[in-house]
Amino acid sequence: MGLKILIVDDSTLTRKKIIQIIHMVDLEVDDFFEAGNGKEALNTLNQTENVDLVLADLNMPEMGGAEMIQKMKSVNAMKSIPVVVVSTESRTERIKELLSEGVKDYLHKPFTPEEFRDIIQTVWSEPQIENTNILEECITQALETMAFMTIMPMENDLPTPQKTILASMNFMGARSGSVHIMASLDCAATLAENIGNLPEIGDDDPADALKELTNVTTGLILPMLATTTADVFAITVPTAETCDDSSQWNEFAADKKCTILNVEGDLIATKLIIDGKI
Amino acid sequence: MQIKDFTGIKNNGPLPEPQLVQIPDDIGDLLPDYIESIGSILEQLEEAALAHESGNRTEENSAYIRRVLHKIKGESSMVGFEDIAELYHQAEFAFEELEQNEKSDMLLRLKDWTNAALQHMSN
Repeated sequence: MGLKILIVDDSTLTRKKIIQIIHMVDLEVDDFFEAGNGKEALNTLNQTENVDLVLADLNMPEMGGAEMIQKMKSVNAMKSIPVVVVSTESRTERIKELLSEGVKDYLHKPFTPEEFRDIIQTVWSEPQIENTNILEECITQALETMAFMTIMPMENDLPTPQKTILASMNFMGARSGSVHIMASLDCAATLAENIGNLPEIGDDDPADALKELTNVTTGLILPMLATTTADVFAITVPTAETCDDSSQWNEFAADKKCTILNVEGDLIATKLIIDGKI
Repeated sequence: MQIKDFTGIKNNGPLPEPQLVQIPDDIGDLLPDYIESIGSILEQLEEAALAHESGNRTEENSAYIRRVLHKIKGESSMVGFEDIAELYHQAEFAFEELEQNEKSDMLLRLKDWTNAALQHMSN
């Protein structure tokens, strides 16, 4: 199925030229919609479902591009539609500001089919937070990195269950969410010792160390999350004596409402709960 | 493509012949749209230039003229009329640098040159 693209520019000629350029790119487009200013564009978006991309000029009569983008962000049905600014302005402070506020990218007029193709690839190559599989993959990667950082120096010091870190995630919106980390106090204490020398963490309190490490790790791997929080819970993990096979681990996981992602020999077990709607 | 020298617009100097304006290879079916669009904006430019000549030197009229010059430059650049985009780039500078009583002559000359170029394209 092809794309639906809305082009917002007060020049009819420019809108036609943009359509001509898009036709030169190997991109399947079902429908082009046109609007002469931001107000018309919002009306079009209200009346049209599933618009895939908005290309918007900034300087237009009645309602300019910046105001239109701001209004789109306040409407649930519109806020996740990617917007690319198309303007004769160079990368001014205003454009940098728009980019920091969630505008996907920027095209300087005039632009070539090749430049448009590059932009399109950027727009759709970014992980979409709404895509559960990609998100879960990113989170898993983040946790596995954290587990790796945690276990390397401590693998011989604690029995496996005490190395366990449990994690739960809850996402409330496109760019906010929480990551809750649960660990045994023994695990957190050892972690604090192991990472105490890192300047960006540098705290010998077990709970704070675990929080900081979580924030750093998820911040690096999940840059789309504007906020992450890490809480440490004191939990009683099964000991090697009481939990010595996988079925018992599964029971424990079910009890804690977690999913076991990775248990490798005597290495750490990282567990993940996807909690809430993603 | 070699861009022509349009610096003459600032000091009533020589300009390249309008009929030598380069038509973009990929203009396709946008040529009639371009001629119509620029022709229409030129009417607005002429009106504002005549107002300026007859004494309307308000900031509002000047801002309007700047927008019109910028729009012609932008549309020309967007569809590949690099010569015309360069002429209007120079005209934007000239409008800022010229004395008040020189501005309208520059604008009317600009309008005549562009109309002649559009006329050539139509043929």
